[in-house]
Amino acid sequence: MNSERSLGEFEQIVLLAVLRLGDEAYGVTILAEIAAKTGRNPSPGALYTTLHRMEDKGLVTFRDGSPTPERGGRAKRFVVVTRPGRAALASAQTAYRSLLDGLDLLTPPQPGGAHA
Amino acid sequence: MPKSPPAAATPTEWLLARIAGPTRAAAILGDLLELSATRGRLWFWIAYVHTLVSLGWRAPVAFLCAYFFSSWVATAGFSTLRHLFGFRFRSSPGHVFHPALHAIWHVPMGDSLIALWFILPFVLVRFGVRDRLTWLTCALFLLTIPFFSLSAAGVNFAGVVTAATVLAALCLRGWRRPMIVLVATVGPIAVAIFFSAKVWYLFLSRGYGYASPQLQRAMTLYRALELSIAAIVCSSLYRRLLQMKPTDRSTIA
Repeated sequence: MNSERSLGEFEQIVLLAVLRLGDEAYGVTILAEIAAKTGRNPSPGALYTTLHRMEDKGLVTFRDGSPTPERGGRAKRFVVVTRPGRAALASAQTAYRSLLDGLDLLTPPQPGGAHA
Repeated sequence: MPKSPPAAATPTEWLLARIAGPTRAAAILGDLLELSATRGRLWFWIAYVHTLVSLGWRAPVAFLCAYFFSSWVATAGFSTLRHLFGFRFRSSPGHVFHPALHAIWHVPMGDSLIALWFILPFVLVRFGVRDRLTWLTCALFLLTIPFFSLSAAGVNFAGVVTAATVLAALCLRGWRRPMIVLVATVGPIAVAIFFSAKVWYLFLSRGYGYASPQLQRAMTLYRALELSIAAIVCSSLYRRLLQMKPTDRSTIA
């Protein structure tokens, strides 16, 4: 209902992982992508809660795949980021960037030197 | 891609579907099965239970909060209000706009406003503090507290504020649906509160005392039933009116 939605940190991570995976984003691959890129191992419960909340907000939608034997004959549900989802992510990332502007967090601090 | 036959619903999927819906449940269980091929059976069950709790904790906890809060209101709540605000409770508000308006103004409004005391904790836990239905319930709850002074000014103020808020919300696009959900949820509880006097009367006329265990048990059951109906109405209308429908293809980025 809000045109401007604020996103939590984990929501941003999930949206970025979905965008990186493109057409192959579903529960298993999203968990793997988050683990590979952030070093975190989120529980499936946390991921599904976040995905369902974002679906209810209209930030993501789902596309059904085909059933496969390794999934007990159950179909994959591929996640797709919607336009409002992309806009909310862009807005959140813009805010982060403007806060980071002028800070050099990636350079290790010099011994005895001041932090940036 | 070769297609496998659709899987028959298992008890685990059935249980998950009660919380997440059948489509979501099938996909979640498929993901967990796929992951358990490398992580093991124990991991599957831990992840399954964690997912059930993560997705389903809000509804039962919200119901319990509403139930215990309503019990508190029914027992100690009004006397706490009296001490907090110095309200002087009377059996009748007396001079409302006109004596003839008493039945259509005071009684239904009183029952509806008491219903807000039950609904507020429910929506707060069930839908969270950032939800418009919660905001609306909270605003009406706070604005209508003067009603419980049962003074003519308090009753009239609460009545005018309630009417104005309902009308304004129904006229505004973003607030119309939350207000419809709220009004539809208040309805069954207000009716139940109205008829609770009949339950009391029924027991008292048969010789049971106010503190008799039979009457207390009956009222506990009665309150649980009215809250269950309100919770079902609220959740189902919320799903229909306030949750986003499957997204139109045109909105996909």
